[in-house]
Amino acid sequence: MSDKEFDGQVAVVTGAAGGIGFAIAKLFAERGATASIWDVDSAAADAAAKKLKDMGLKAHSQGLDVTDEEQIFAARDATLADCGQIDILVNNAGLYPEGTIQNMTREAWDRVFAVNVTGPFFLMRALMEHMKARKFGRMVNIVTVDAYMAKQTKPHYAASKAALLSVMKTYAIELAPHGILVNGVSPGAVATERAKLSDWLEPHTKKTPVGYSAEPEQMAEYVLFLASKRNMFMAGECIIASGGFYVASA
Amino acid sequence: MAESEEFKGQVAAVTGGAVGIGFAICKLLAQRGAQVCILDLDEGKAAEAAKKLGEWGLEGRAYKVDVTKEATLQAARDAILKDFGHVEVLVNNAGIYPQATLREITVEGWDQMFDVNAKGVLLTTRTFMDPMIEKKYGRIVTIGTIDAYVAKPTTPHYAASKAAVLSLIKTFAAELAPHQVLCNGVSPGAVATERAKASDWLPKRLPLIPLGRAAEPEDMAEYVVFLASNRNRFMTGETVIASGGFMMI
Ligand SMILES: NC(=O)c1ccc[n+]([C@@H]2O[C@H](COP(=O)([O-])OP(=O)(O)OC[C@H]3O[C@@H](n4cnc5c(N)ncnc54)[C@H](O)[C@@H]3O)[C@@H](O)[C@H]2O)c1
Ligand SMILES: NC(=O)c1ccc[n+]([C@@H]2O[C@H](COP(=O)([O-])OP(=O)(O)OC[C@H]3O[C@@H](n4cnc5c(N)ncnc54)[C@H](O)[C@@H]3O)[C@@H](O)[C@H]2O)c1
Repeated sequence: MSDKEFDGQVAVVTGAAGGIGFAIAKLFAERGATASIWDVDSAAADAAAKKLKDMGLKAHSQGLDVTDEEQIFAARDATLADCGQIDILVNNAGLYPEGTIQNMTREAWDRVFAVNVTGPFFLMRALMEHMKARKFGRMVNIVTVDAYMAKQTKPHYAASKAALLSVMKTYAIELAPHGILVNGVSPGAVATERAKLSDWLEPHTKKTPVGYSAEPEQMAEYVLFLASKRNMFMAGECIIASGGFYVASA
Repeated sequence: MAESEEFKGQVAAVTGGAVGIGFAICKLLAQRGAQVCILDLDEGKAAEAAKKLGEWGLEGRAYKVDVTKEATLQAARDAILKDFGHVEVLVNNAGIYPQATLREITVEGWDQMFDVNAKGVLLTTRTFMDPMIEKKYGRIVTIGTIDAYVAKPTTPHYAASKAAVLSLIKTFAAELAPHQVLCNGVSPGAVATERAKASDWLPKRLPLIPLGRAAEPEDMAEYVVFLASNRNRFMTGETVIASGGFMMI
């Protein structure tokens, strides 16, 4: 590690216009990388990149809907043209709308799976050949503790993230021989703007043994560690950072 | 923050720190600015390790402990508090892994395995947690193994003792989270330490590792040091598996 651990590297972070994704992109840029911010809200992505550039950091932005493979290809090609290479992919874009078994619609189910599972699957596929050719890559997928635990709400969200865990392992085994390490981070409660508007953040935080919810910046540390060259021997694993919530309730 | 300052002002105690993975952990912690206390049963090797750190311009001090004997741990803790005044990091690394099949294990062999690997972790953690609770800051990292999750015919007592350790890690975490002492583990796959290189299991394991190699002790130290650092502010009760992909298959 050095102050500029990621100097010369390009890190793509999806859903990085706000929330945890932006904290990840910012930390990458602070540690020397070019942060490539990919988001469905392209105006917000541009604004996020500008914010980093105004701080004297290296940033790039790209609008795309991760559920559309053509848009993934276009984003990849544009990023490669602008930044020259991609060393790191963080699959962070994700949806967690409310829902119950009773009120679930097919559309709501399909949309959550499209963003949370199908998107990451095709994103990893779209970037793997480039990383294979360079014999180096790091991919980090943002999962959630809900993937392991029973809850009466958001069954589509929990199931989609459990599916992402499986997809992550398939890529890990496929890509390990090429020097590409694929792993995940499962956050507990993170106090993003969206989470702060919800009614679950407060009760969840109360049940968190360390006594607080994570700041997005704290979650970013786990992602950056797994994306760094400090991580040379971990593949197909998902680390749980929940302030003890998972171990206390599991 | 410069790399060499991450642990500036912190004191780290590492059991079994004289050789192998433990020594790599000591070295990395020292390189990142910690004052390192090498706690080991082998006094001679611990002193040698401290000397080596000194030659590299790093800070290390040796203390003799037997992790199965609480009084020796308390004496080391008191000496450390006297020498430095505080201790922020504990790494429970000391462990033994002699081979024996179900048929070959003796009662003494079983007891010794659990004494060092499981009871040692309990006693060491219990001894060092108080100064951390007092400071409302601490990081405890305990070394497990992937054998705790997968069956291997040659070391059933080792696997069982480390499975007990995984459970202890969770108890420590639940107990100490309110005091801002975070407790986690690292479960290594094959690591090419001198002892492992002298064994017959290491070459057999290699073809099964998706990354195609065993870890160097330095690779493993990175996971431990990350969890021991203040970069880790929200993870507790977890054990990170670093097996080169072996655990997936
Ligand atoms: N906040 C929490 O407590 C928490 C806990 C566990 C897991 N997570 C996970 O962390 C990730 C980020 O969560 P957050 O709280 O920062 O969310 P957020 O809603 O604040 O940010 C998500 C970002 O993804 C973008 N996005 C949504 N759909 C997209 C699509 N189809 N294509 C491209 N971009 C898209 C959004 O525009 C937004 O900028 C998600 O995967 C979420 O499931 C969050
Ligand atoms: N090498 C591997 O492949 C591997 C894999 C998984 C887990 N591990 C674990 O990593 C840890 C270190 O393994 P290593 O290969 O570096 O071992 P090692 O044998 O090279 O070093 C162990 C150190 O612990 C010390 N020690 C032994 N008993 C002690 C006691 N009662 N009190 C104090 N110190 C004591 C020894 O003197 C030695 O310095 C162990 O917990 C081991 O189970 C190793």
